[in-house]
Amino acid sequence: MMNTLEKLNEIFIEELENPAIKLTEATTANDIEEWDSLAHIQLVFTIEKAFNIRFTNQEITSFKSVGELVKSINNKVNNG
Amino acid sequence: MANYPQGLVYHHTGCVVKNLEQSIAHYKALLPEANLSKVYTIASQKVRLVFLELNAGVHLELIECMEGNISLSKLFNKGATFYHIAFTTGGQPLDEVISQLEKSGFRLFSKFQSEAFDNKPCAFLYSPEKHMIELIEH
Repeated sequence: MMNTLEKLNEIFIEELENPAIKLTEATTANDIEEWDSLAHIQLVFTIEKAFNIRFTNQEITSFKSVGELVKSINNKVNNG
Repeated sequence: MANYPQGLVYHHTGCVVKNLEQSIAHYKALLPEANLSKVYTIASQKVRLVFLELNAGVHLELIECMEGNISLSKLFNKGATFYHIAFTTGGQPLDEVISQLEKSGFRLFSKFQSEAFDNKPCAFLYSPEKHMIELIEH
């Protein structure tokens, strides 16, 4: 069974159409050329659907790294 | 019923084009009475754009992706040429309008200042229908 980071990696590869993406918890938007604000909101929509969660508007604009994203996803999934 | 902001004024529909000069020529042939703005180069957003004023205050924005604008180029290549609709805030502070819209299910994803609007504060949001909405504080 895939963990959250692995599942996110698949989503990023598909959404950003870049099979070379290898996410770590330290990855930020600066590390991935395709990850701009427009791509970010598309990623958010896809992640919400994949994990059946919803981010707050504040969260959407405040994630600074993949690690923060993973932590938020896990909190939402584990706490319903 | 959520408390929607009142007083927004339609400003333009933004459409992505492959070649700005070709599209300007097409639309000027189709709408010779339309007023054409200067061409703006918005380096921060990696686009070139122009406004055609169709009627008083009603504009069509033609947008060409510059090199490196990967996300918008992808949308265009998928056939999404109608990109966003834009409203001015009717004199209200941008942050107040955003706050009200967020309570109504809109989702903010970008705030910026655009050279095309005298560096006024602007924002992009997605509506609950996932339509992209641009707000211009004016």
